[in-house]
Amino acid sequence: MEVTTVCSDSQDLLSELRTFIAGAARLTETNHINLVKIAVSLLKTLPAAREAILEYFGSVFHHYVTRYLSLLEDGRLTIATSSESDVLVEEEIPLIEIQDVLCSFVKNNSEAWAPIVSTWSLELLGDISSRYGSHAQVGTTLNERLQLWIVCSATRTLLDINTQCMSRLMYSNTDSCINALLDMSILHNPHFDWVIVHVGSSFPETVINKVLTCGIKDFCSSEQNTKNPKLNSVVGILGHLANTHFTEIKNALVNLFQWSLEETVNDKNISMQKIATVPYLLHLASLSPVLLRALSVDTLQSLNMNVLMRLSKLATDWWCYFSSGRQGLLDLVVHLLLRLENGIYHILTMLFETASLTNPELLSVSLTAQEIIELLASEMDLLLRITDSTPPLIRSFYTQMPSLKRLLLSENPLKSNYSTRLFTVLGKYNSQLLSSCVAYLLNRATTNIQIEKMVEITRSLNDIKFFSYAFSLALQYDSIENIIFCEDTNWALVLWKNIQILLQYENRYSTTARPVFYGLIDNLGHIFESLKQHHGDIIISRIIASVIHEILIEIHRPLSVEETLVLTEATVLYFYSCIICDQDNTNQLKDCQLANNLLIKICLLSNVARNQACRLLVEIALYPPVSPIFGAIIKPDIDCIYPSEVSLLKENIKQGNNLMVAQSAMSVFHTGIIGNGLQEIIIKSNLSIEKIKQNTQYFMNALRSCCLLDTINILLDAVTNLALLLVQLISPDVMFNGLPWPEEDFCKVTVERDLCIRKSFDNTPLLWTLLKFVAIHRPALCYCSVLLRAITASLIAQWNSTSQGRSLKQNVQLVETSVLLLEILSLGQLLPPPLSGIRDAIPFLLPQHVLLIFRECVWNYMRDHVPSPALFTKDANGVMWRDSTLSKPTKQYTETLRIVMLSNIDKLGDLYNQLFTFVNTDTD
Amino acid sequence: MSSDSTKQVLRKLEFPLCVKEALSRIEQLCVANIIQNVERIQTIKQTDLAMELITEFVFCEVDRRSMKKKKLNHIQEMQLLEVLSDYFAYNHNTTLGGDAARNTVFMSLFPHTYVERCQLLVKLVSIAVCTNNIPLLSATGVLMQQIGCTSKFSIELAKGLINDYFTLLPESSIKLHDLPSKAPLFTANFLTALAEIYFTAGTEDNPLIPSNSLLNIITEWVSENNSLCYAALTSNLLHSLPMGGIPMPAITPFVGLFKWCVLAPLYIDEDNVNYAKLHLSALESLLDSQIYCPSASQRNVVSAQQLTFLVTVCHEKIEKILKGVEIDVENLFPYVQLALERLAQFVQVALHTNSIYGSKQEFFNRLRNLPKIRLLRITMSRHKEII
Repeated sequence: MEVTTVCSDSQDLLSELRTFIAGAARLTETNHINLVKIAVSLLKTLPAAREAILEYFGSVFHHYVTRYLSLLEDGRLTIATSSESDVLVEEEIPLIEIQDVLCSFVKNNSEAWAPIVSTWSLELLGDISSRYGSHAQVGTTLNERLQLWIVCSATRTLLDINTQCMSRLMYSNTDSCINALLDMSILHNPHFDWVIVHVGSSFPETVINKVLTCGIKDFCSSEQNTKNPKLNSVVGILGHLANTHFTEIKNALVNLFQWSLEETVNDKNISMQKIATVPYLLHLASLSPVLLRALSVDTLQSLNMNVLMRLSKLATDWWCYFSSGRQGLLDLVVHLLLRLENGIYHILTMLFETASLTNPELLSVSLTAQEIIELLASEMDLLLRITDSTPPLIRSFYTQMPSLKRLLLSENPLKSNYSTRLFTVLGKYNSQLLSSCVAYLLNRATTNIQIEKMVEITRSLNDIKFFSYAFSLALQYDSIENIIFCEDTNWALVLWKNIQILLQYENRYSTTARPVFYGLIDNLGHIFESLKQHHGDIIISRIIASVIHEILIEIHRPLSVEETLVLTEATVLYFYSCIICDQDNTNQLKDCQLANNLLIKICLLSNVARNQACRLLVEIALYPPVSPIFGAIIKPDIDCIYPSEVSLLKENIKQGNNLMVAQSAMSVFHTGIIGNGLQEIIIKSNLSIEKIKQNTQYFMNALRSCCLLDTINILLDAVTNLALLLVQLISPDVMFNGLPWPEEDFCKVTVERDLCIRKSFDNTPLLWTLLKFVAIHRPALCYCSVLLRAITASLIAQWNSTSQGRSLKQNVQLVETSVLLLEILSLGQLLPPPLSGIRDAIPFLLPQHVLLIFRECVWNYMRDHVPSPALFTKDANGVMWRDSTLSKPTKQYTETLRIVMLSNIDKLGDLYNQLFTFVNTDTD
Repeated sequence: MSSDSTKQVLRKLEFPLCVKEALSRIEQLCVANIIQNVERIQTIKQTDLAMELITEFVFCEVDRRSMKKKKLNHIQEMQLLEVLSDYFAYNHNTTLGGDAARNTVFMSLFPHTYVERCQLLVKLVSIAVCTNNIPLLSATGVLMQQIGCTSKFSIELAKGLINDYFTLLPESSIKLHDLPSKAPLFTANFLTALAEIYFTAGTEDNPLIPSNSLLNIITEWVSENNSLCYAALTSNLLHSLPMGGIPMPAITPFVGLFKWCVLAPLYIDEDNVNYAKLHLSALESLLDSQIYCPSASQRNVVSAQQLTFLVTVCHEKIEKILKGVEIDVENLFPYVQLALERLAQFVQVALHTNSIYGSKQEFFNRLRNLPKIRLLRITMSRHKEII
């Protein structure tokens, strides 16, 4: 035999190898601790044995897993307890050794070792997971499995080893890594998922990207087959990772999509993959809601018309990836849309935009978009009808409402058609939604198309509640809008125009149910408020007023006091804006007519309104800034012209404890301030007399409207109230306001007040008109007794001074005023004939005669005959009269007049004849 | 003993044992072929039986019904390899056929047509290197030479060994240090196969490049064992071959190694001293060709055909580099200059020692196309008469 030259070193090696082989071949009787030591040393020295050694290591791991599971089964170990480490630590040395040696290889020479170790560990993990997958101790859910295997030292060690390899390989040899992972996942599905989750969360970005890429390669090669196991495993993996690495997934999807849009290089495979990307993404999304969500965040947002146009060219190539071709693609798209949680606005805009393309070359594209919209609408309809749950798309529809509503305003008839279609479908099941749409349109629809859409939407629902809600929303919106953007009142105009259109539309076409009308009635408060709010804008308020008028014509329920008050105020304000703002006479007439009609309606409805209306009308008319339009003269506040630096407090202290006594030297007649000259009349209305007359006429009409009992007759109570109101407003003094006229001397006490009242009348011609109105409606004038008295007193004083004055010339104004007063007294039948004829005589008489007549005939008569409503009686027609036969004045009061007239018989012959001849014959 | 009864006996044995037993039966069959001058038909019959035994009982590739069996797992493979190495290390007797019998068995086990067994052979040789199994290495050397060092089979073997000793466990390459002294023929053929792999495999622009540890060990081998490169030429295989076997012409690693040295500067950026060292040792070794191959007819050291190929590759690469660059021959890029100088030196020494065999005409034609650097001009003028 030849002598073999074997050195001791290699002899040792050989014996180690023999021991290893012997041990590894008979596993059952093996002491793993020793054998692993040998194997580890062999691995370092004998490269050819590595496969066998790794195989042996595999059985070692299996051994530990079985052991672990049996411990669990016996109850000696629970997953929750940490005692596991104590029980096993001694025996785990082999595992640690294996991990050490493999990791050191991977670390020192990763290029050579990492692929080997990685594949080995993955295969082993897959093998273990699926072999023990159905074991009783292994849970069914992913989390249970993950927990179980992570606690197990063997699998944990394997995972650590694998992670080590992966981290080395990730940047050099990613594809093979991920492919191995996917293959294992398919092979050992679903037992292998936990490994993927673990690996994935260690290298999220790479794993996600690569999983997607591998998936698309596979998808490309197996078109049509959506049951593709690899696709499912891709979805599974990404689904697991999505909980923790949603952002990465999101980004990876966007990147993939963007990549598919890049120009293709001349590589058939790659261009195939690019074409398949969109179907692939769609399939992924359909398989996993999480991925759908991830797609909807960024990828959908990256769609725009350009991208869409480019995609449209590829669409025909996509059909082959769907089981039923084009229809399959469309169905999938619609179902995905329904499950979409985000980005609905973007999607719908894109869809509408595409659907309304008119370019003939893109006809098929727009037709497809239209089809999708139609499918979407009918699918939504169906879903809402048959299920209680709301699909995510519809939920997001609700949340995205504010932006989606914008679509309704589209000028493009097609686009707005589509949006109307979707909204009406949804509205069937959620009228609030539709209400808010209508509210939105009410506020914004200006063009015919928009208005048409608005009418169309409202037509789809006939519910009063719906309209009531819509109007209340729209009106609230109006007020909010006004607060925020005060400068833009267009909203209100649009809103009211639209409401009017709706109302007219309803009046014209619908006879039975009147949802718009009743909807408006539910919102009367708001409507009245807005009339009040917009009274400055004649156009808006005109529309509102006419709407209100239409409502009031047919209103079936009483208005609440609050509503009434608001409405009254609003109407009065509207009336004034008609007079002030309207430039066009015909319009003004119409507007005033409308205001009158409104006032009539309101006042007929409630007495509260009547009082309020009268008061407001009069109050506003009598005082600045409105009063000048009725010819009033305004004397500006002295303090405003000459700002006084005198302190009121000091002035009061100066007065000391002196009593203010009327007629004392301290009484101040306000004819000016010494040193400043006479008070000037600063402000004078620059309106023409005709205009003033016209305004006054309008005013009186309005006032009359407020006092109407029915369409013709005046309610006397109302006039009485008016009379009282006049007293209240004009007489500043609450004392001596009674009906009786005192002794003429007593006027000295009230002279200051009297002058004040007189001044009011002088400055405000409207007061005379009002007084006339009161006088006509007997016996209301009685209540104005104090005013008449004050004027008479001041006139007597004036005539007195005139008669004593140097000039005997007639004071024109004085005469006018006197005639006016006397005329009113006669009208009100406070001065019965013949005293009622005085006014005709006055212009021809001398001042002293006039003074005499005023004193003897007027004042004394009035003093002795208290002007009281009791004097009047109602006749058959319900009109109040003072019986002239009963109240005929005695000679005591008429004699003076007669004598004066006689002395001027040349001028007053006719009158004398009228007044006295009959009387004389009668008395004599 | 009939073939059936042999199989019956073997079938009763368990797996590793049956291999051992089968091997001795196979050897007997082979030895019988060599020694007894039996009839040709008998020989063929016995060879067939040996092959059947190998498939069923050694490699366990088929079962008793010749159906394909499940592959051995790695541990079983290891058991098989253990038996095989043991067999070659201890179990051959010189009386009956000696080397020839061993090589016959070996060649029957690993015929180059069975690519599947190549992986096992790699492992077997790898273990042999580690465990100093010289007989097995010698047998491998013979096998390689017989099927050709540059054949796919040999190259796979070389690659496997490189993977084991240089890629996976670079530190264990020390074990290869005294390989030339232990198994010169194997080493020489391994070297030839190796030299073929690098700078040939891989893409055109990124050829496979040997690692530094591999370069170092090869340089050591060549410089310390001057005869190493001639081992294939000098060893007489006539008596080591099976009956009727004809020794195949040997190929030396020279052209392959010089290819590395010439092409390296053109592909590798940094200045690598290792190639210079290798170049020097190879040149020195080549200078000794007349010592190891005294007769000119035997001196088939450098094949003219291979050399022509090298010059062509070199020329193409240089043209590619110089494409569009107008450069004077005297003023070339230093690395091109270096490559050309190395080539010229190699050619000069080869011509000088008269080691080139085969038709040289094509070679000289190619050589003329190269940029004419000074050394090349000198060399060509020196050997004008031949050219």
